[in-house]
Amino acid sequence: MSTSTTTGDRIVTAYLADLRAAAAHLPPATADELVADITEHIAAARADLPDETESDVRAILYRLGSPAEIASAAGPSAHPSPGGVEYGTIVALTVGTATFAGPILGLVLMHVSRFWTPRERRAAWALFFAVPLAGLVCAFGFAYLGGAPWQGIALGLAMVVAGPITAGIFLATGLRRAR
Amino acid sequence: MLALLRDGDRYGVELVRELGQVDGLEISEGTLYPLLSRLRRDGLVETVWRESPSGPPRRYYALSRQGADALGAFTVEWARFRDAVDGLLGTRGSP
Repeated sequence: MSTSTTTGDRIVTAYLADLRAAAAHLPPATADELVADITEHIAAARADLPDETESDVRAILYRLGSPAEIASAAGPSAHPSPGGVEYGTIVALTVGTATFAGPILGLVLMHVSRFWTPRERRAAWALFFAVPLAGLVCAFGFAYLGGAPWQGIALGLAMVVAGPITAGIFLATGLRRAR
Repeated sequence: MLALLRDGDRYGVELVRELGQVDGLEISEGTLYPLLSRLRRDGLVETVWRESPSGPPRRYYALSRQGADALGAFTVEWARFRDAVDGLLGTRGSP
């Protein structure tokens, strides 16, 4: 193995890493398949070379095209634009919180929609429960310190309602990202 | 792509290289892989792994029964379209 092989490997590794990053918007299975196909292509094309040089490797990658170009051929890079389900999610979580069923419906709709990433959905769940929990702790603390009971109850209630609303606002900011 | 496979099995590098060199098609080879994977998913092409004299085993692509049918249908459709355009342009019969 000559040093040029190592350089070739390094170029290929960097190229595949760029491709993986460019394919981040695709469904995971599609992205995996694309990266596997391109990896296979490069390995086969390099095996065809009698005596590989760095410029041979660069030529293979040049003919393949840029990672961004390949990834966009596999699927549109723009996020889907938000529709009824997404707006419904946000309305149910914010305005809908006035009713008991609103927040529950909101969470269900959030999962029906394929718009938000798993990470965003987890964050929404966390806000949904963490904010009321914090409110509850505050309310107890308030009562413990000798505040009027109605103040503690009001604070606790406000924080319980604030959970779904915060989650809704968080998801709404996600909608803007799409444009 | 299906038409290239009619003449025999090819492995990925051969296939995309030939398509990339077709006159009039400005294609980066890499952009053909998403298309190949769609054809695979739709059952129009089949793949077989074969040992290679040099390097790792290679996946060869072949036209499936369904792919051959699709190609046949397209060939008929294309001839009809070409004749219609030739008729409009008055280029019928020219090389």
